[in-house]
Amino acid sequence: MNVFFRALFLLSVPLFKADNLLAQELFPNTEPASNIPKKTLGLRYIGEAYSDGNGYIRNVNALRLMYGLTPRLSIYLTGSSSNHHKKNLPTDYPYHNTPERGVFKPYAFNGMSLYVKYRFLSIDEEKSHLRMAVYAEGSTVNTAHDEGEPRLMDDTKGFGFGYISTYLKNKFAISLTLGGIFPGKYVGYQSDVIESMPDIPTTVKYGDAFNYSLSIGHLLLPKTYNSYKQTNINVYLELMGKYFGDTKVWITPQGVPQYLVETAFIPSALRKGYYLDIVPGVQFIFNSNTRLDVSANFRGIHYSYARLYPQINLGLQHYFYLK
Amino acid sequence: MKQFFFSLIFLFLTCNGLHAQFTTADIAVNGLTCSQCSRSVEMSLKRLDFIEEVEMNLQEPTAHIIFKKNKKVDFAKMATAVKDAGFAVRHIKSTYNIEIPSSDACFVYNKQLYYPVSQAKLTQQKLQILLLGKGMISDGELKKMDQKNWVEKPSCSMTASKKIPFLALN
Repeated sequence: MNVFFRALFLLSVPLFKADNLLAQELFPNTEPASNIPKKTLGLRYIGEAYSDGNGYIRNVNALRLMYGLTPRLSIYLTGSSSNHHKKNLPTDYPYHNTPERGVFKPYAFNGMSLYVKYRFLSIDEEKSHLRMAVYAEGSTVNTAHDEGEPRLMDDTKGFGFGYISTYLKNKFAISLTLGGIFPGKYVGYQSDVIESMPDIPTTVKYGDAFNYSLSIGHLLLPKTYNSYKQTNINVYLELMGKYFGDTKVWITPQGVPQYLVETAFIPSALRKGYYLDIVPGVQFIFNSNTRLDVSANFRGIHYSYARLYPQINLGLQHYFYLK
Repeated sequence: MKQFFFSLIFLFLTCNGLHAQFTTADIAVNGLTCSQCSRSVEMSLKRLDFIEEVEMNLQEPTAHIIFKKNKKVDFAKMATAVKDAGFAVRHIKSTYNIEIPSSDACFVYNKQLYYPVSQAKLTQQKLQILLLGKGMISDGELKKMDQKNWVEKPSCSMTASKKIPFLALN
């Protein structure tokens, strides 16, 4: 871990010292307050992977369509798939096996989510800009998500909204995102401990969450722009996290009226919590259009139960400029 | 018939609005910090049917525009195209090619009246202008200029539905 923080420090120093570098705001894992250009269609692949023990690699693969409706209004439609969930919640949920690690989980389509961003303030100057935007998102994803932390892209249904502020001055760019996530209920089943017994109806209400991130980045190469064909290399450092409330679970075993599991029996993974991940990343932009992002989530303050560290993230994005 | 023909030629030669033409322009863009952003501005400008070519200077950043011949240029649409890409115009400079020099610096082009905000004469073949129309110059750039002797309205007798003030640079 010491090596990691040393590397992080070395990466950060040029941000504040170098004279000929430009700041960049095409953050790999968070949205800037800027928009997709009008009449431009963006296609983005989002991939995440981490090792879950017993040789299982958990993946998320998502495809995002992005479109600039107006210069200030962008709309994203994301379809995601993963091997993060089983058809049913874990056996003896939530008392045991929560979160369930090191077991086979089939790869499945999770659902769709919609994200809309509106930039309401732009103060553009020659070598600086301040932009502010608000966003809203909604999701129809409905999976047997067994951790308490909600995520609309691939884990939980619900909606969210938030605020983004991106400031760029000379060689330094910084972006802050603050938002709320209001997940819906998952209504499904868990397998009974006794195999011959029928599945147990289970309802899960994930806690509301407050998400926050702070991102910085700069251009590493080229030192001087000459042509669109120069491959751009940008480095980023993102601090990303969430605060989320307690999860509520209702169970209806056969012959027993539905009951709410008492908080005392709720495991840590479903209790209220918070975390802040440290996410360094590198980005390659080819032909000033095709973007390849590679980043990794490392544990910073506390941790997320929805992943094991480190988590490797991959992004591939291309713009199609429509007539 | 011969008289009618010569009258037509006379009209053609004396009407600046028909003969004069913009061939190039330079747009300085605010807020651009990456080559991908420059490309977005370029692609947005290229959608305009009167633009032949866009050469982006990634360092400045500015866009050098070459207009199509026989197409009417609309600077307001160019400013909107930059805005559509998500950025703002710092300024637009262009050169107005005059075939018949005139003492009146106003001219009507593409149904728009261009008028100088300070003293200028159309006595040279090429008049370099800085456009001051809405969205064609940033507030920051305007603040830097000495506007003491600027006129608010065109002093010439020409009329058009839309008026675009400019500052003569030569």
